[in-house]
Amino acid sequence: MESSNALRAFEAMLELSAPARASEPGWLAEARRAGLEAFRLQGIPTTGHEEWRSTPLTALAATAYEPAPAPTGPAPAAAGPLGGLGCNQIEIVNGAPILAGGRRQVEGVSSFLVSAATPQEQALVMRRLGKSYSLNSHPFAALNLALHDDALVLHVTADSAEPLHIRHCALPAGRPSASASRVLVVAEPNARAAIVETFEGPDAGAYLTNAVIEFWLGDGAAVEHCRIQAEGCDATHLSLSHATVGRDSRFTSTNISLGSAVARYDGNASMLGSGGECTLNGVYIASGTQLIDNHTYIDHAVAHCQSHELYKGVLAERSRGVFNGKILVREDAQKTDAKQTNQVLLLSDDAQIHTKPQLEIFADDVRCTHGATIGRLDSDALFYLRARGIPADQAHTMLVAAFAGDVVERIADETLRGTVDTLVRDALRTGLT
Amino acid sequence: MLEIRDLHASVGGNEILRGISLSVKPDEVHAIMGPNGSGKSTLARVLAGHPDYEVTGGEVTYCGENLLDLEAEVRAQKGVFLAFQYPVEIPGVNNSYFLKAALNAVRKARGEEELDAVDFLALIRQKAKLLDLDTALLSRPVNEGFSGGEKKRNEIFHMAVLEPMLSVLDETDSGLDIDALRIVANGVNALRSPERASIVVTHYQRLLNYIVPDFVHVLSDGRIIRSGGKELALELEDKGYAWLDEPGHA
Repeated sequence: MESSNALRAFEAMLELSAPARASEPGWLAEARRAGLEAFRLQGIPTTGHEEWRSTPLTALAATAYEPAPAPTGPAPAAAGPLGGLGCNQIEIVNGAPILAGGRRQVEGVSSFLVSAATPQEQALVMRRLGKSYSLNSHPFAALNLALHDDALVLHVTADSAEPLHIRHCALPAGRPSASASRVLVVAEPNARAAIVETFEGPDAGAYLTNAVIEFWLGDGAAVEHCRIQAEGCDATHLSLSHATVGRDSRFTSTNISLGSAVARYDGNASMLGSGGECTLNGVYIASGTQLIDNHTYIDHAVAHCQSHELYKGVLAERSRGVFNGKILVREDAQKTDAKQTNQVLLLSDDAQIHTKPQLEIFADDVRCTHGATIGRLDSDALFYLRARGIPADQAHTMLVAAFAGDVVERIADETLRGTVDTLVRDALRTGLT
Repeated sequence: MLEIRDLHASVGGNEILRGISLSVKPDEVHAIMGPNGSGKSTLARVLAGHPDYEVTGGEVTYCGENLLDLEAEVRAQKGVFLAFQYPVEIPGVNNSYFLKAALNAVRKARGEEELDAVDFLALIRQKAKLLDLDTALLSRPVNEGFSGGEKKRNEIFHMAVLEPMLSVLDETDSGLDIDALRIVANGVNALRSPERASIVVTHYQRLLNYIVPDFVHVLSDGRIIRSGGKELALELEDKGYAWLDEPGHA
């Protein structure tokens, strides 16, 4: 593995955190070791790696990150539409979850930090933390396992009354800083929850967010996940979500990607129980020289599961988008019904999209469809709106918002849907006109 | 109100309008008739400011201003309305939300206050009733999945809400059955007033039984080859357009 500023920085961070980790239980130390080993094997991927072909990480590799300082208190209140998400909120500041006393109980959900876990809770966590995805094919998620601060665990035991909001916040620092946060969601059989993650950070100065969230859904459980990536414009955002979906359970995730200079998201799901259903939707909006890369991977391991994917991208100026949608249908996964769609609106001649469906099907009685469309704004529609008196820029925003709205309106929670709609419209107004 | 002098326009390098002159005064209804390809719809789109059409000569004055200098939305804000021959489907944009944005843009340009949600709702309910428009269409995306007749009725409904000074109806009658035709005509007639004017582009005479024009102009090959009163339309219905091409009539 070649050495680089970033690699040396990550190694230094590990060394620096070693004393604090010394008192951690053996299973956690073992998990961290496994993560580190997998990361060292892979290193920082280059565009020579198939999974990173269109996403150069040269700026990241060249940066000597420092560990983001431990938070001294809660982050400043969110400005704009994000401030309106007044639900039950837990902050993760510079990668460190803030939870007084290490735990909080709300209806249906018990939240705790791994550092404060009881032996029973540790048993729940140790079988799952870092166990849902392959460490050897996700270098940064492997690094995250090694490097992460205290992990936040949400144990969903019944129906939770209102959405839980995990607010990831990077604080301004004088120098490029890096943080790694980790969340584990365990939904017991038949339990239900809605979880919102938001990502914010300063607009000036480079920083690195490395965030991993794992979901384990018991039989008959239902989890709705929404993530809003609104990082600062110099940020590098690397994140992974993995849902392990049990029998007759349902996982729905909506990934709204607006911020960062470079953002790479891996949205994965393993369908491990028959009758399971998963939906991975997303909207990405980029301008300037932004690069937004979304990789999805759905592993249909058993029969009679459904998966739906609808990703919509809006790319302006010299921005670039990547969508790679992998669907694996294993030999036993008969009667799989999988549908994948990626639609992209290119608003300039210089914007680029790399879109690739990747279907690997080993069962013979399945229905898998995929489609990608790349287009421009409909000039007839634009003229129609203007001919009724609507100014060109407003008409433009209206049409692009309608394009993205197709995903937004599928968000079940009304408050959340409203917030996302406002954010998307703001992003379109400020970034694209 | 509208003064068109020697207007030439082309699309994709092909000259379609080859010198049109027309004067429209308040309280007048002008019918533009003519065979397919004569330039009727091009004239309508040029007046509305469609970006695909290039004006290569002549001038158009609207209420003392050079209309051709104005962007499409500014023309609309100043009271020019085009009822489209083929209304565009706009997925994801709610019909009444769109109309509210349009009405408020027009009101703002007129120096009027924006309408609030309650007043707007009352207004559109009243206008929808006038056009016998199914109120379910108000909350659907603009024109999406509307039948041909519903689309045309929706155009006139937009017109009724926006109350333009100069309305240009581009083949609004095509695809309408006789009942729908009557309803659409009622909508247009309800807007007639001493300060407003209309240009009705149509291929057939039958719409003019319901919207009675003051003048009828016949377009052929990008020029007005004949103008007259409403009786000209009846004559055309009787004898067909070919009659006008005979020597001595051009």
